[in-house]
Amino acid sequence: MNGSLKSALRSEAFVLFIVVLLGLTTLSIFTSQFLVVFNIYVLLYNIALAAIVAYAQMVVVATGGLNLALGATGALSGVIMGMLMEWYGMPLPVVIVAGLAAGALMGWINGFLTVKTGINPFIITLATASAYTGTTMAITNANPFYGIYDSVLSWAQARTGIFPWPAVVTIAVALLLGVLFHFMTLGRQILAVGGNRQAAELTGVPVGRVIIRAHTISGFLAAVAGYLTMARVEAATPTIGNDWLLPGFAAIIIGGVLLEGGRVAVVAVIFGVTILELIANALAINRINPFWVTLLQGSLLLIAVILGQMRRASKAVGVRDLRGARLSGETT
Amino acid sequence: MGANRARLITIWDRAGLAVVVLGSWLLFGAFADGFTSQFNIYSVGRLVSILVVVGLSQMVVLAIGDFNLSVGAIGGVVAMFLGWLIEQWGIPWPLAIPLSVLFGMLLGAVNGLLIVKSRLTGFIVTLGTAGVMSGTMFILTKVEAFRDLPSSFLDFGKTKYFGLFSPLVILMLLLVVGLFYMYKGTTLGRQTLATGANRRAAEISGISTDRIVIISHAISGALAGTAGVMLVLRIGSAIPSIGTAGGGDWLLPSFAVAAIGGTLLTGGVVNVPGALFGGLLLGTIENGLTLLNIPSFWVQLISGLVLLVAVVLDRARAVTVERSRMGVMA
Repeated sequence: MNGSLKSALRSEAFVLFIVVLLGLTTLSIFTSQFLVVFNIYVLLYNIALAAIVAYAQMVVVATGGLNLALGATGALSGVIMGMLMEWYGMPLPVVIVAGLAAGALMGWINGFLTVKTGINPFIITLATASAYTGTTMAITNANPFYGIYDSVLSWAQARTGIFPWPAVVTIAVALLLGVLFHFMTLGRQILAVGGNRQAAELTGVPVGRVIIRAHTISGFLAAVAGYLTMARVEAATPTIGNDWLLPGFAAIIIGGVLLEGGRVAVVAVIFGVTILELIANALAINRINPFWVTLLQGSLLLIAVILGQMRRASKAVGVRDLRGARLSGETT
Repeated sequence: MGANRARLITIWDRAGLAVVVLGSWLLFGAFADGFTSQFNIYSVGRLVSILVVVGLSQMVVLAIGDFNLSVGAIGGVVAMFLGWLIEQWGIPWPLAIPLSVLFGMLLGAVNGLLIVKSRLTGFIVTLGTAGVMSGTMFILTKVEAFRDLPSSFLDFGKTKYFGLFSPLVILMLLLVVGLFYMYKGTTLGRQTLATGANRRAAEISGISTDRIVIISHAISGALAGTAGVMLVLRIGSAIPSIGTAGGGDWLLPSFAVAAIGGTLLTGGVVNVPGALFGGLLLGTIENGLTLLNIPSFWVQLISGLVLLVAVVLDRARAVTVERSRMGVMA
């Protein structure tokens, strides 16, 4: 009992939680505009959105792959939803289902091509990203769709105090991913494929199918993030997702997800996202050049990978520490 | 069957790509007005030269089985560095250009050093450094272009030899020849390919693979920087969005040019003249479609598809080269 408490205190999620607390305290003390209801609401909204992007990347990275087409998928899904609203006036449920299905399909294509060709998913998704972006531009002619339904916009703006209601989507996604990786065969299979592909194959895991499903989930989540972005900026712009790659990877690496696969961290990733968004928020309220965000995200990513590498060198880490804070001692 | 297939692929390697490029010339020559005009040949030459050098900058790290996601960032940073040297410091451009390329080489060497020290893949390291490099550049330049470059510099960028060829073409050809010689005729080149084919084996046979990784990334940085300089020469000003717009404008072409040319993505095999043809193909398609008034997004879509086709062929080739490593990130 005592031992598991100790290891919980040393766990990734807990350390990150402390970092977040420190950041919150510092900002509250030194920046008068930080601890304001509206600012915290904006911060939470940004966290909710960035978390879904990070999760979309995490699911594929868990298999040992990656998805460079994340942003392109989010953009094309968003644009398809915008098109269905502006041009065809379809009922909202149809629009949403079609958009999410389009995202899932794009993810499925990524997975299918990766598995069938045996080519590095980096190259496959680099190529499909270009194809998806090309399609987005072909549909929009580089002009956004502004005909977003009022119901969507008011839903996106709904808030109670500091809590943005669209964040419910993120909470639901996090819970579902928790269920997936804890209790479902597919989740365990994804981690098995990422942890040791050959061993997974030998023990009868349908590796190809698992990879395709992980990509499909990734595409689906990219579409969810595309929908949230569209609702937020009140337009389906072709530039949705342009800047999802670096922060997505930075958040999951900070959260302790292993790039070579086999390990996810649903809770810790939220803290990783929070750290990144706190920095962005601090820069924004102090009116500092927004390009610092890119610089700092890149630096944090590098620091996180190097720290992770050092930690791994110093102790032989158990691979499947997916339960975040609570149970990590037990699984190692 | 294996031998047949190997022969087929060898034939494709030697002639297939040239046939495809010729075919595209015939096609656009017949249907696109002005494709064969002197001015168009001149501008295709400039476009292709930059594409080829961008592709070479990726090829030299693919040779060791690594990636460089920061080629666009380095190109942009070096372009701005060049503008800064000339405008802010008044350094004569014939001196500023080699200094800028050297700076690109330094940035590449930093990538290599970080990769070697951290024992991480080039993918994640260069994703991080790309953010740091372009972020720093945006902050320092305040996203303002250097537009007052000296007229002798601009004239040099607009030089035409025989009314057809730009100095950029000559520079690109020199780089192609130089790299071809490096991989075929020097110890460094052979050691690089050995490192890419099988790092452990290379290490056991006494090659300092860490050194090779750093050198390859330094060359990649120098080439990306050269491409940045070439782009400044082509457009006549140093603008911050060179190479980086939209999260990596150069990323797709860099891989496409190298892969179309027959460079293996798994390392150990490069094809330097192939990159020349890869650049010719992409440049021709881009130019031809523009002349046909086909919107530029089709170029992007088609580039993606061309890359897909190229890597599938690459895969077939890799199988025959009998180096079936897993297609997952190493």
